[in-house]
Amino acid sequence: MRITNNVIFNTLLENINKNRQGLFEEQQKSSSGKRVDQPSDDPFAFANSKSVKAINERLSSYQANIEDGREQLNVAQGTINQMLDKLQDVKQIAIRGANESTLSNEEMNILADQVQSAKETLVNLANITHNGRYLFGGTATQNKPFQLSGGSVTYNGNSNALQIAVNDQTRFDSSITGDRFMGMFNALDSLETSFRNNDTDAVRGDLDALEDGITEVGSAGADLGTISNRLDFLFEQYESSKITNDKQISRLVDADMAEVLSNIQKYEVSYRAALNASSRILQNSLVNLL
Amino acid sequence: MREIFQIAKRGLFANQKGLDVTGQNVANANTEGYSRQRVNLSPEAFRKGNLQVGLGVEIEDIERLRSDQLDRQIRSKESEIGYLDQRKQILAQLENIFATDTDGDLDIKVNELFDSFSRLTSNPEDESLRSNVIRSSQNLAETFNRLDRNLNQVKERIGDTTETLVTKVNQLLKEIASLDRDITSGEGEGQSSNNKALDLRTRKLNELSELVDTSITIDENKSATVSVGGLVLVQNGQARTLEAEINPSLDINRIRIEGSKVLNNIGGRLGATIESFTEDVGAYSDRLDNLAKTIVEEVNNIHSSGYTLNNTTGLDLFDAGNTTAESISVNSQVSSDPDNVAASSQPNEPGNAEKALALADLRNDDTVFSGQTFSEFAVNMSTSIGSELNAAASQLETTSSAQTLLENQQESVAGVNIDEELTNLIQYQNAYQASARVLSTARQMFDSLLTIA
Repeated sequence: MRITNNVIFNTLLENINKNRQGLFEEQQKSSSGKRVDQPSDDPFAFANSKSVKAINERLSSYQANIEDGREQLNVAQGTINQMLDKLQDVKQIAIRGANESTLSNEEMNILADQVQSAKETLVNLANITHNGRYLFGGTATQNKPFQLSGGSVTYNGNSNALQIAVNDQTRFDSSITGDRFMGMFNALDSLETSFRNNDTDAVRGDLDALEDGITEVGSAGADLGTISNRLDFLFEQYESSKITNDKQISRLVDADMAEVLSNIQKYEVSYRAALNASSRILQNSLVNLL
Repeated sequence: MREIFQIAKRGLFANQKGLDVTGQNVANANTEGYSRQRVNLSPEAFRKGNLQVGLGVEIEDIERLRSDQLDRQIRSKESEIGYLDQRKQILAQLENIFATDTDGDLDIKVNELFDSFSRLTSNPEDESLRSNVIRSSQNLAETFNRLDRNLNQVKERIGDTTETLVTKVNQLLKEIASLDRDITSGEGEGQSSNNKALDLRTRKLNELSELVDTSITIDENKSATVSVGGLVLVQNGQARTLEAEINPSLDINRIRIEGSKVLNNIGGRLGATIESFTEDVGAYSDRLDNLAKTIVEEVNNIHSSGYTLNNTTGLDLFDAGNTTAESISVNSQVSSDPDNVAASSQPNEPGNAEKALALADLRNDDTVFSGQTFSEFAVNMSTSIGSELNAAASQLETTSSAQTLLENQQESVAGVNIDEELTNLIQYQNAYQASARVLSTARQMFDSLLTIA
């Protein structure tokens, strides 16, 4: 094949350009730190990294839900503990009333008043709000769930539990519905009436009912505690998933600096060699010898 | 006696011509599109009695060395390269629009919408979480609007490029026709070809081939007939003109010949702008609209069956009539009153988050797009643009390499090698000097003859 001057020039230019192109690309990678900046750099890695990033987004969102839920559960549990403390006091009153059959009407009335006062405190506790919602009314969160009038407590909430979404298709209760307190409140209503009527036998019956009611309240509190633990566990699990995912994302799209630097050196050497070789070829021509 | 003068004279003349042509080649060593020329000499003779007597050398022809077949191959590659490069540019613009690698990308805004629904579930009565839903919806709608505007800008730019290319093509067609007339008027018995015009026409044909995929036939008179997409554009030294019919808002981007027939299968850069307009930009525009419409419909479906904090139902979150990427918008009844976000599945249950949950669950619904979720559909637009860009770029590289090989081959046939020409220079110079010697010897012999008398 006849090699003319232009063939040599064209080949030189092509080689130079190829090396500069390579240098440019590696330079991009080193300054952005990314191997995959645009989808066209590696469509497969791009798509994968996007879907892993989406997963992390979702996990963060659920973690935020979990934190809200935990906060609410803490308030609910704390309130129930306060209720349980109060209930212990009432139980003492009831036990006294049940065992001492020689109390006068006046003394029974004082006990009734004490029960009434405790009931008011308990109703206030049961009407606790947090973040603008009543916690123990089910999903009817904008209305006071417990009313005390004429000596009896009524519940006007519903039995749909408040919940938080901790994962696709997975929800946890974030409070208990107030109907679980009614056993306890009914017993208190009855107890107050029995005291006012100075009916010791009735008081004994009420005491049993009260103990059942207290157990139910305690169990509600325990349920919340269990959920709280599960939430803690889930939160940590998500956290560690996120870290693993971050590593995967990095593997997919980040540039390996060592590799980039070594490539840059490779292109530099190649570039210089091309320039060198061509300058030798170009210098020689018949013109110099004639 | 007089023959020897003829022979010497012819020798001088022929070798001088050789020097001229060598000088011509050397001068044009760097001229683009120049094909080297060669003097073809042949010995001249005549019959004198029963002797075949030589009468020196005759210049047969000044030949233009070039491979027409290689030119044909080069032109076809040129069209491919023009097509691929132009399409690559358009795809790169699309990629820039859809994948900015910032938080403004469509798939991220889609996910943020679903996140806002998910967050709402933990406290549906909370005003700030409701406002968050409204804000995410507005951001998503604005992202759709923005992408639609950007796509329209690309369409307009393609329209401008088309006009520019058509002007260039028409210019080249005229030039080729004019060169064709120059060439054919010079052809004839015993006439040497108009090499300069031939080279120039080849160059123009190559330039044209980058813009459109040409089909060229050359007849015995060296006249070229140029066809594109099966329709003749240059024949017998006459050129037709192309017209661009462009209206981006109506999605029209066409080429017509002199206002009548529509030209298809154009190829080259012009073909790429025409096809890319519909197949790339148009197609992605449709996908974007599809996503917008589906989101509006699916979200509204759930939202309108839910209850607001005002205990009303039947409210859409997105305006139901606005189902394109250009028009998608948030219902002003909801955006003006956060209480109107319908999170609950029952009236009078403000703590009920069933509908918010259902809306959040839409994130995982892959039935609407046959196997893809909303987010995946959005990402897929970026990814498939990236893949196509990648494919076009690597095809371009391969074709360019093949083109370089062909060009080098043509160079090998038609290119000037300075060393070779300098050698020829010496050869012709020597022969010229020798012929001059013959002439002076002949003159001396004639002088001798004269002194006899």
